[in-house]
Amino acid sequence: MNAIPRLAQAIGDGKDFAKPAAEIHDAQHGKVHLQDVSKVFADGTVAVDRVNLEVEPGEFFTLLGPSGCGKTTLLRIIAGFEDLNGGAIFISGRSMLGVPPHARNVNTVFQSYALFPQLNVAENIAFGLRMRGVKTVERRRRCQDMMVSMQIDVFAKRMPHQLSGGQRQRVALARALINEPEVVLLDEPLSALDAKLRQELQVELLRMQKRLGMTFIFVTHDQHEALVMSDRIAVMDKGLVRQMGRVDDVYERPRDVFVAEFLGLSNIFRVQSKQGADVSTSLGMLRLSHTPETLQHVMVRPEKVLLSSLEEKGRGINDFHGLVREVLYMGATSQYGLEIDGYPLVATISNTQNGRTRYRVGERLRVHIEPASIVGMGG
Amino acid sequence: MASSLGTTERAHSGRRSERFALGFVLTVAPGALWIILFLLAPSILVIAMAFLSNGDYGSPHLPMTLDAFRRVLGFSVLGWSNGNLKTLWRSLVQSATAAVATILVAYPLAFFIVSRRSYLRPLLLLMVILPSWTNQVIRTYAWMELLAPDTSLSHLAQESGLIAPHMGLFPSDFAIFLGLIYNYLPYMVLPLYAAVEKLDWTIVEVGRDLYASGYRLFWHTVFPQTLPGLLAGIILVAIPAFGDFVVPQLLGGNKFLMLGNLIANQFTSTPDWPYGAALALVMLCFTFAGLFVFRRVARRLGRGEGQIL
Repeated sequence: MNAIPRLAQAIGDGKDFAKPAAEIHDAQHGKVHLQDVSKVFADGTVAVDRVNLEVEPGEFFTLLGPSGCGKTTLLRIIAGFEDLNGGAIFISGRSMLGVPPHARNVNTVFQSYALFPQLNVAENIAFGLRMRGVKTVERRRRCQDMMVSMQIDVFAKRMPHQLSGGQRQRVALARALINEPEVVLLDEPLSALDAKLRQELQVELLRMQKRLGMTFIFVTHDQHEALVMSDRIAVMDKGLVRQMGRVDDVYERPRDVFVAEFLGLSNIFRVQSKQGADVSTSLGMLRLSHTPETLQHVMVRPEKVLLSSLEEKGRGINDFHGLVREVLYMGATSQYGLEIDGYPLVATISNTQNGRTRYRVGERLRVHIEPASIVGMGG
Repeated sequence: MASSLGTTERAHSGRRSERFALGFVLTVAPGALWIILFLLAPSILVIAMAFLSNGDYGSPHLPMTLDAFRRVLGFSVLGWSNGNLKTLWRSLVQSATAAVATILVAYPLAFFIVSRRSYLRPLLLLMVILPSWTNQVIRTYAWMELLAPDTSLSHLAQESGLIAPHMGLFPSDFAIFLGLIYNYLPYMVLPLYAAVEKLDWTIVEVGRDLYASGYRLFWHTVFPQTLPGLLAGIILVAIPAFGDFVVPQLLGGNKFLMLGNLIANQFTSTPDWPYGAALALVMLCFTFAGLFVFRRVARRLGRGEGQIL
């Protein structure tokens, strides 16, 4: 039996370890609101620079960015581990200024898992309930339910050093979720796992989040992870939020070169001049269906580039002749390195389409880009 | 053919095992010799001596007897006295309080030093260790001067009604207590500092994240992590303090003897070697018993880390 359906079933079976979202009457419950939040470290580094963001209740929100962009600092600010140098922070509508971490109804899953080495799995998971004074009988019951739903009940008596990475990860997650926090903060929780396990846990995590209806704020530098898991994302760089929105919007319509390049592959051309919907670029004249006010670059995703043989009729606009320089076979797709008038262009074509979609190195072909597929961007 | 081949093989392996034996002797001998000369032989001497009779000048003589042990238990020609029990009790209490007090001082000190800038830390550690590089007797004399009657510290204690007029803070149990803390503090600070320095602060953050604060945060996140250092410190402080004789000799003024003084006296002022040897054996037994109990406790506390001791 495949791991994922089994997990889905298990999650469906775990009945009462968390309230379904519908039971929570307070509309603010689980909402996170950051207002002009800034953080400057003692050495003068601006880690977070006037960040504004609102995370809606029950949302899977991802902070994405390269290392050192301030995403982890932002998460630590929400958890209460870092003081603010400016701005305000509200969780479930209550101001969190001066509220220490232990008084916040927020739980964090750390990158290193950081399980208590002297406590076994069950004791680790029950720790938060114990600190809150939940009675032993109820604590045991909730802990048992949690372990069953996470499929770690067989490890209940094991010590952390006897567990594998994936098992530790589950324990760390269970230790946070059992407290039914208003917000769950996850700091690159999957980055230490191997690729296959990571994919499994991504799906598991996502299903669990949807089932529990809890707000998840997830930090990652992995764009694939961000794309797969998030409802909305904020792309960060140098302490600033460069773009925030639904994950598909940010991917399809990046605001600037940084976002476009960080999230997926892209072909980016500098705009030389502009005449209505037609812009002149290094590639030649391109027609856009929409041109923003500040237009410095145009971008087209490789999968939006259409290839056809030279015999087929051109469409008049945004048509080019290209030369195949390089073919990268990637299983489901192939990535073509093309050359158009000496300028490179990357195209990704599905290998399972009907008709002829495979081209050889050295072959000449027709390249077409739909005006609607071209995104005009600022800096 | 076959037999000659077998012989060569045997000869080869024989030479190999000879070389191995030589290497084994060369590497093990120094350590073994050390243990035999300086641990086993003296121990056997002391054990044997404890069962001999007392000679004219305190030197051991035949026949063998249990007389020394009877006197350890407090029986003498004058009947039974509780003097030895009192001395043993004072030694146990003094070494235990010294361990507890050094822990209470060393924990904040270790955290203070770790929280300083990296170039300051070795300097601060040096300041903790430096006094222990001068002679213990000299340092203890300095405490005598500080605590003697008619010194400012003694005056202060008089004013606050802690001691009777014209009595010094020294000689007293309290002076011994101070002397022991002062002498053994570095041996608690060093292992504890090493433990605090490599503390995993993420664990502490997890504790805060999971609603722990104050002493509970310390108990569940810091204490288990620093336990190995703490245990090492307790052993380094409590065992030498248990047998210390310089501090009680000088700061106790012969009124507050500890086991170490009792033993030392049997070999110096009023020689009685068998009695001294028997006392030393009793002390050794108590030390081992203490270590055994300690090991059990340590195992229970530190079960996640495997064995600490």
